[in-house]
Amino acid sequence: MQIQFEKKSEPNRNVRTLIYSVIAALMIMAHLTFLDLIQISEILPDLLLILCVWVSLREGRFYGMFFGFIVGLFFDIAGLDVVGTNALAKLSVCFLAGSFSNPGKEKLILQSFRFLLIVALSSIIHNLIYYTLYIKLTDLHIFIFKYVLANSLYTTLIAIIPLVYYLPKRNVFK
Amino acid sequence: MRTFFNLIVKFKDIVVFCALFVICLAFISLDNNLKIGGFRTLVVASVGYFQDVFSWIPNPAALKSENRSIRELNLYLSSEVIKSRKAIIENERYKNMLALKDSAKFELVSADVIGLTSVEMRNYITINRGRGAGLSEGMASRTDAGLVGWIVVCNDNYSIIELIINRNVKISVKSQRSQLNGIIEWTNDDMFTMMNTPDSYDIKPNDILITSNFSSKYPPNLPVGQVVISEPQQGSLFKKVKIRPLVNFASLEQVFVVKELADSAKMSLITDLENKLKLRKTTK
Repeated sequence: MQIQFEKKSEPNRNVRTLIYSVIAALMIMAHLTFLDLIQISEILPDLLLILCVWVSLREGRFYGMFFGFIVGLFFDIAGLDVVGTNALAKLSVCFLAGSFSNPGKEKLILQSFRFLLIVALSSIIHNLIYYTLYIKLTDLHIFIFKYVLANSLYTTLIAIIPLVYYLPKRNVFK
Repeated sequence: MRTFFNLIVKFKDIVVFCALFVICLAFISLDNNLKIGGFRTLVVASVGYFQDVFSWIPNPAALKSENRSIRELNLYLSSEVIKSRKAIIENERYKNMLALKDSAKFELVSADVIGLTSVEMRNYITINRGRGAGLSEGMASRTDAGLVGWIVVCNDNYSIIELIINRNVKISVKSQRSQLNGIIEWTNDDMFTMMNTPDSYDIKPNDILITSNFSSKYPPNLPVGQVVISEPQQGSLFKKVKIRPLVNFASLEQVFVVKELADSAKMSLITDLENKLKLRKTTK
């Protein structure tokens, strides 16, 4: 029995950038419109974070930082948030996630549980940076447990979806 | 330069990350959103803590500037203190004068002392009130402390007061405590002397003497002086009584003029008697 991996020709970087931009725009729209439907106790998964980690792992740290910065900036503007907060958090996350990228072996990471671990770690860092800007010292335990840990857990759970989609397909019938 | 450029290219990820990080912080700091107030507070507190930790390191330039500022402030404050003290003293004086004015049964006209004159070894003061304020010759003048003198000359705007601390000035007084009458005269030792006071008279040191009803120059019951010495004299029937004036003439700045003249009928009677006595002497 021979297991064959399908090899597809990859689109060039410009096309990929366009695809990422469209996905990011859709995710921003989703965040601002109907993502509240899946919130649990005011906690939402951060889809943009998952996308940024994906892009950083796929394209490298340098590309990912710019992507994270611009996506975060647009999200701040669209969400009427303090401009620069999401940009800062996502920039940091992309820098961190890009450190795990391995040129030529992107799919090995993206199609394994290492991706979930990277998403979890990135989410914790992202929430620490982002929610520190809104910190109120009287709410420290809420800050740690709800906004950092619980949020990261929820985001990591949602990150399983692209992982499942990109799991290597086994062709059992040759 | 090439090395620097190569270094940037080598660490381009970190350089770009730092640059974008700074840009993000700039965007955040420019925003006035109250949501990040807590974060700003935390940053300010942290910076303040570190500044406090390293505050022991002296800054010579800052110290020099601070010293100069402190010296200037010190100079300004010391002049303010002097002004305040002067104001306090003046305030107390004015309060006493106002209380006197309220309680006096005679009408009082306040005036400032604008000059000190000495004519033929006699001391006078000039005040800035005259006939225009209803004053005239013969009116007595006082302060809250006591009798000052009487107006000898006045015009529309000014008056000259003869002070009681002049030689040969005689004042009819009585002791406030014992109500005993007497006449005091200014002597050369800067005090009044009570004339011909019998040993039996109840005049003691610290007694306050006031003008009596017998005075033709000054209204009654004006404080004049305080007994300093009251002691018998050897070989004499009279005791030695020395009186210090209550008014401090060295620091006279404001006075009150008593708008009251001696009874003219009484004065003319005294004048008639004096004239008759003079006539009797000449005819003899």
